[in-house]
Amino acid sequence: MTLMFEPLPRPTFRQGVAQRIAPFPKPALLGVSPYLSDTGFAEIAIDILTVPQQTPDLCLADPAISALHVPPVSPEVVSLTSWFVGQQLELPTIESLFVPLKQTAKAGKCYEEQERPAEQPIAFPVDPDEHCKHDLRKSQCSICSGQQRKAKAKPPHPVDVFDLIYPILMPPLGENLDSPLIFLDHRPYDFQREGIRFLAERQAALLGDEMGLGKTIQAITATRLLIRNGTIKSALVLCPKAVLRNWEKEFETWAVELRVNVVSGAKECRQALWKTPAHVCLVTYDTWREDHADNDIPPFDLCILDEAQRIKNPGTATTQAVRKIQAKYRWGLSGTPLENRLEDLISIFEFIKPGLFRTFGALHQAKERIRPYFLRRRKVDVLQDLPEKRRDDIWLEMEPAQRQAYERAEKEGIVAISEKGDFATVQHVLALISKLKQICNLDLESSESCKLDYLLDQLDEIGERGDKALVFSQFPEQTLKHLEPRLKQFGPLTYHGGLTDSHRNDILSRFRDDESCKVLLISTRAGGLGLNLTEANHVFHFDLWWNPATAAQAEDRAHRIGQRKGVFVQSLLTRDTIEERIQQILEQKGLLFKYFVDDLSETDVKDALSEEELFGLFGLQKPSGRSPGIASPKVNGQMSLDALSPEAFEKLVGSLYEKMGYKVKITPLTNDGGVDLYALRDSDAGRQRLAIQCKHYPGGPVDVAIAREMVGVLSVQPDITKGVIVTSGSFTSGCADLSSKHRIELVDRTRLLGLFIRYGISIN
Amino acid sequence: MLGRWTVDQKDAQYLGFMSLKENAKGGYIGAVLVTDMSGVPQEFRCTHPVRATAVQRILYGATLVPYIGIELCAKPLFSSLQKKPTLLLLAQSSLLDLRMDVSCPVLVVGKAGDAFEVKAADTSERSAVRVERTRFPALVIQAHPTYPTDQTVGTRILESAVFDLPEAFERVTKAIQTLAEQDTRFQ
Repeated sequence: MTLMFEPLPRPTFRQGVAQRIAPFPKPALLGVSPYLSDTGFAEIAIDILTVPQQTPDLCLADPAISALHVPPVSPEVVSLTSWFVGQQLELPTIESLFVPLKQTAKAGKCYEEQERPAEQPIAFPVDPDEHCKHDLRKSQCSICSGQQRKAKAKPPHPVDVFDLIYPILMPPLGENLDSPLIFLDHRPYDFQREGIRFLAERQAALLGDEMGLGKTIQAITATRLLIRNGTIKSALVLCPKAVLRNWEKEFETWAVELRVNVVSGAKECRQALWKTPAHVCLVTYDTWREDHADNDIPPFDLCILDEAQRIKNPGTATTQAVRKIQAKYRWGLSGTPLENRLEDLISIFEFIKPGLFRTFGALHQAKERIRPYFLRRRKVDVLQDLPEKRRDDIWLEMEPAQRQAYERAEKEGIVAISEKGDFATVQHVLALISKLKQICNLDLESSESCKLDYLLDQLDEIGERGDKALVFSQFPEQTLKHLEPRLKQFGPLTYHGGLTDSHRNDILSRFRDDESCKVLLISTRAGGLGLNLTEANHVFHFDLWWNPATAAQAEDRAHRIGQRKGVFVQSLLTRDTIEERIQQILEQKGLLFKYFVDDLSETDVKDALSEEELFGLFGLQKPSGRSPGIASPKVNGQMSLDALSPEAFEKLVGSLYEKMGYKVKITPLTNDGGVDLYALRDSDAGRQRLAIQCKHYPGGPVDVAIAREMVGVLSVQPDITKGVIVTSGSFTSGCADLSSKHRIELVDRTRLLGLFIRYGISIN
Repeated sequence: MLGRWTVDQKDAQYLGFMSLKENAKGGYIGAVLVTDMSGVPQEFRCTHPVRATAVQRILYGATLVPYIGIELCAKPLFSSLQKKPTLLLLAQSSLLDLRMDVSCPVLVVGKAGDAFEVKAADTSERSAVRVERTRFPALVIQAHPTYPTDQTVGTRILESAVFDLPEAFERVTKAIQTLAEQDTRFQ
């Protein structure tokens, strides 16, 4: 039975009840609508309601509850599971925000340490305290001591950045350049201080001091000042070739802490030099013209043009190349009076201060315009600051052909003296010195002369100022005679001992009275004493004798009573030659100092160079200086060695190596496989096995083919420590080049004779 | 203790000038210059820049500069010196605690009249003293409170120095700037 209840407005309720209700009262109907009002159900349907049945015995039977079914009213079921899962909170990731600071790398330099390359083991070890590689006592060998000095003076490459900041770490030069630490022995004059300040305070400047007032040192010191206070990092100096080495020397004197690269030599060499870090690059105008477009050239903060009149012609390739330089600071130096040459000034200032003359009118306007950038002092302006006589050494680099001639002559001379053995005297050495000095003055074969080039530049200036010059040389025939025609434009006169008295007087009168005669060439011996030549106030020593007093006396021809101007003395010297070695010895002995500070008497320099020192100039030992215990080798002249047969020569070389402590094995005369001797020695450094090839070529050089042969031997016998080629002659440059690239040692005649002497080997 | 120091080291007296500089990129560079008593440089060493991130700056807080200065720069630099200074001079007082780790006397040095970079809390125990010099401007020096004798010993050493001492720190600054211009490692 289905009972339908009174429908309720909402929800409806249906209930199914049992058919048999009686005798029970009707069940009360519950109004559920209020309970359903807030639900989503509209009605509850009860299909069957079974109530307890009354049995005949009036007992209640088990009620049969058929069903109570409340069908849902199709509620809308929304699944929230996925949404709920998405909203679920997760465990957060724990980030470590603290990263401790870590120590970084450090760098730096101890400036007192000089790192030296590891020395290669040598085949012929010698006592380092006793002998150098020239088989001389080190104290007597000028070549070695000179090299040592150079090595000390120039720190080894490569340069690191801490070398470049060294000047910045140095104490400042101070505003007045008056710190005692700045210049030590070298102090600038007051007018030079003014010039230094003038340059240092200007990005564009032309210093036009007269020659002899020290433009170079003013520019160097101003450069040093700017680098030391960190204003600039690098400088480029362009100068004529003749004074390239002089600039280098002046930098060594006045700015020793600066790294200076002299960019010269072959193209490949120059490319490497441009890349080498330095504070200053020195280069000639010609080299700059060739190299300026290279990418390897670093930028420069400062450019100094020495002899700035070199760019007075705007159309030349040199001027164009110079104008490509992009430097913040641009200084020009020129002793040539430029103030009245408008066109020259315009061209020079077009580089120094571009745009300064974009518009200009008359000369006086131009002068006004350059006034802030131009400083020129004449000697008369600053004479009170100058000494009566000023001396300068001018160091010059020989021309290539001149250098070649010099080296050839030196080599031949050393061999010749060595061969004289006990009969070699100091006169032989002096003759060689004279010959070499003549080449330093002028190479007659090529006519090249760096000294003459420099002299010509200087005489240009001297002539323009109306001054006159004396040029002294001890070689009237070999030097002065050849200078005269090349100085033609200066009206040269030559005074030497071969002239008659009347001729001499005539020459002196002409020099004194004739304004066109600007230069007098004088033989040091003939004109070094007694003459009064105060018309000249410039003195050039084209060469110096070992006795500095001789030079001092010569200078006094101009520096004497009656001289109204300051006297400027310049000694022309060539780098890496006998002249430099002699100067070094004189310097060591303090003679040069006395020469420059005091006037030196003849007695002071009587023994300026001992015989040992004279022989030592060429790496030779004075014959009488040999130790008496060692038998003198009888190599008295060429014939004694040259007369040996090749077999005897081999045996002699074998004896030498036995004396040197080697076990020597001589190979068969034929089919020797390119090796004449094998030498074996055990030492602390290990076992040394030498393959020695003997070439008895007294008349000529050993060429590259022999070196090639030795290279082949070394390649097939890797246990050979070193190959040695010994000759009674010399080696070609090709042979030397190839050997230097392999482990091949060359022993030429000179060295061989030295070894014979040292180890007491007799040829007979 | 780093290095060795003896009072009797008369033959070779060196002064060390240590400074910590912040560069344009916010990195800290420590540098030390060792000179002789004339101011001529004997040795120079510096660190690559130490850069702190923004978080590190916040977390290290006030200890950042002293930590970088002393632990990361000053100590390693002093250890690396081949020429140990007879007296170590500092440009910043924040480095003064380096004294705890080195055996030579340490002073903060400045020009008289210049204020030291000192925390207010420290001034009570770290007082600066004025030192008059005959040929050079007067100085102010400050020693570590734990080592009060440094002041006396240091002043005696300074008497034989013949150059303007604070100027050496300017050299260090210029050198660091130049290094940065020429070598990327120091930028």
